[in-house]
Amino acid sequence: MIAPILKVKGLQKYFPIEKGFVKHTVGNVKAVDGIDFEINDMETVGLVGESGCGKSTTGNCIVRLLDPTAGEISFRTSEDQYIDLATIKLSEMKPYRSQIQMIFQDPYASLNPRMTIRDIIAEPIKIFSKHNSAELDDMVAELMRRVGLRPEYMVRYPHAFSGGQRQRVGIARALALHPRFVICDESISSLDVSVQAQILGLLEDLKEEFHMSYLFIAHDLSAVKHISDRVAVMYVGKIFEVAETNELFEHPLHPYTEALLLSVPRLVADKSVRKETIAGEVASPTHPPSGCSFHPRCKYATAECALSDQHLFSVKTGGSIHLTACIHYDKLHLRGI
Amino acid sequence: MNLVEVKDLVVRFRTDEGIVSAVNGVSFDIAVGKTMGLVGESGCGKSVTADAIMSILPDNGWIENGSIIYNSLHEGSFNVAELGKKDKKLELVHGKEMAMIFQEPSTSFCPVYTIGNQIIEAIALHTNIPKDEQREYCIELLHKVRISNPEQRIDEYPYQLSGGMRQRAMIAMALAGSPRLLIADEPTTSLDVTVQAQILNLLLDLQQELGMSMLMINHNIGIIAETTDMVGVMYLGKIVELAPTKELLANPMHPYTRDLFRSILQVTDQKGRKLAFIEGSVPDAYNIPKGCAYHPRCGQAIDGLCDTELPVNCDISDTHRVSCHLYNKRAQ
Repeated sequence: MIAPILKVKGLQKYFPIEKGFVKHTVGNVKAVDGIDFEINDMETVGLVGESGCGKSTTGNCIVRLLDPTAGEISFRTSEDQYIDLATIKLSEMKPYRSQIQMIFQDPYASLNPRMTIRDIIAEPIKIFSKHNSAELDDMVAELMRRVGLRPEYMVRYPHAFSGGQRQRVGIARALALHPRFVICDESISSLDVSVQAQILGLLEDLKEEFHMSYLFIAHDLSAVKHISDRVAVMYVGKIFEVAETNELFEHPLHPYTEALLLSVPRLVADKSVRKETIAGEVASPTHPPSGCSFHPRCKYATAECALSDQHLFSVKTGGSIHLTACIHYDKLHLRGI
Repeated sequence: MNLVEVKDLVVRFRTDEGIVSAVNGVSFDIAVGKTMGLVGESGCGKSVTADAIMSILPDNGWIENGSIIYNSLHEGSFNVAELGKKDKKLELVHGKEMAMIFQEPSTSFCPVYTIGNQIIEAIALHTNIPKDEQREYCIELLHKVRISNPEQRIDEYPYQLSGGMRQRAMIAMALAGSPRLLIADEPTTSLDVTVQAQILNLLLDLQQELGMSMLMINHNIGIIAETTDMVGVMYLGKIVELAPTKELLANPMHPYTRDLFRSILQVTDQKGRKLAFIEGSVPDAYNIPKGCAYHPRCGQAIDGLCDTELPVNCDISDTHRVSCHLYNKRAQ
């Protein structure tokens, strides 16, 4: 088996809270608080969680839009060597930028309105290699065809395109350098329902064709279920559960995963049914609860939950490895879908 | 008995690019004590329909045609569409008979007043409760929407409340005048799924308890399925299909409804299900296609008919209505 393309170990990102004229730190927002996960070659890992759980911060740390506070992000380069993206100098990171790309959430904000589509898609190519204008045109046209846009539109500006088309432009730009690893940060959540499926299908096809791995960050469990091979569930800066997609959805081993799954609206028309949901709202990452940070909302919580340290451990189920952070997982009979 | 009867509603907006018909001949009723849902993709006119019923269209928008009959308890029946934006009758109805909750609870409250202050303002305006009892009633309302420690929360500012809590406070404010119609425009879209489920449960319970009618506007068909009795599926300013929720889910008839249902990503799907999707995207409101607006994306479009003639409404049953040439032909 080929070694994983990305290994994240103990990743932390704290944002200091500063006060006063001298800006002394009075606390930390623990956006990401020590997480571990791996992404294999050609694998899509879904990262789900509610807003503020640190899933986007994780993505931003990997591409170094943010500098991690601690931890390791080992990326296997095309020369089969691991480099640590967490500590590498930004000036030394340039050769690896072409191998890691990102597709953003808002197709309206992530395209420069004053550049034509051709310039937007050609920009990364121009940074990394020298081509004359005609060659660039051909490359852009080919990319546009590949993502389902008509090449003759390359002279247009972003405002002339719909949300779904703009997202295709964002995808074409990310693919321009043939990356090996792509982070999709809520890439379909701002699109209309009829367009979401189109883009998701496109991402799946491109993954095979370009031989890529994805980190698919989303809050929408149904989209994650469709595209991911494995899913990691995050809550207040920590990963609570990791498992293969069907395993996680059918046999969750963490009460938070169960609560998330039960909360999703389904296409069942019955007004008399009330959703089984959990009380309260996501805890503050500034002062996360002691022990398991989910215990104040968890209906299965015991006194032990507030005390015991929380970490992922492996549970073998059948052939696959299922990781959970719940110490009571074997006593609970959690329901999946 | 119907509380609201909307008939052939046309709403237009004047914009820099010209005049747009955001709502183009919409008809539906809201029955007493029931929930009517409007579902559709962005730009289909569902929010504009709600704004028209509340007479809160922006200054560049107006009702061009059609009627919105509201059967008021105290004022008798009247046509909201005929009233000016400053009509005295609206003052009597707003808040007391109709109330609305919006998508973004953080921008719907004024940041410089406490939650209590703003809810009490609504109480003073819409009820006859004497001044010294208003605070107590406000606490009772906050309690009703399941805000913990209402005695303490009443003196907090909007920024001190979480998103879910703010939405509860907004529901409390809407309930201040004991309205008979509650319009909920994407009430949970900005909330996390676990909180969304809490708010939807609350709305369902409140409706049962208070017997209100509701108009639920949402792009999420799952939410519409779980909260409504009747649904109108909207596409480019028209209701293309109207049916009882259960029937619509079991037996969608309009090609758009069918395509939409097929393209929805569901958690109950097996991984690896081949995704169906609708080709193209929603045309913008300035270039609405001729004939049936859905024909360029429709797999069953009939050349020479769907692209030229407007489809008429066909009654499949007393309660199920679909606007599509396919069914018109069959009926003949």
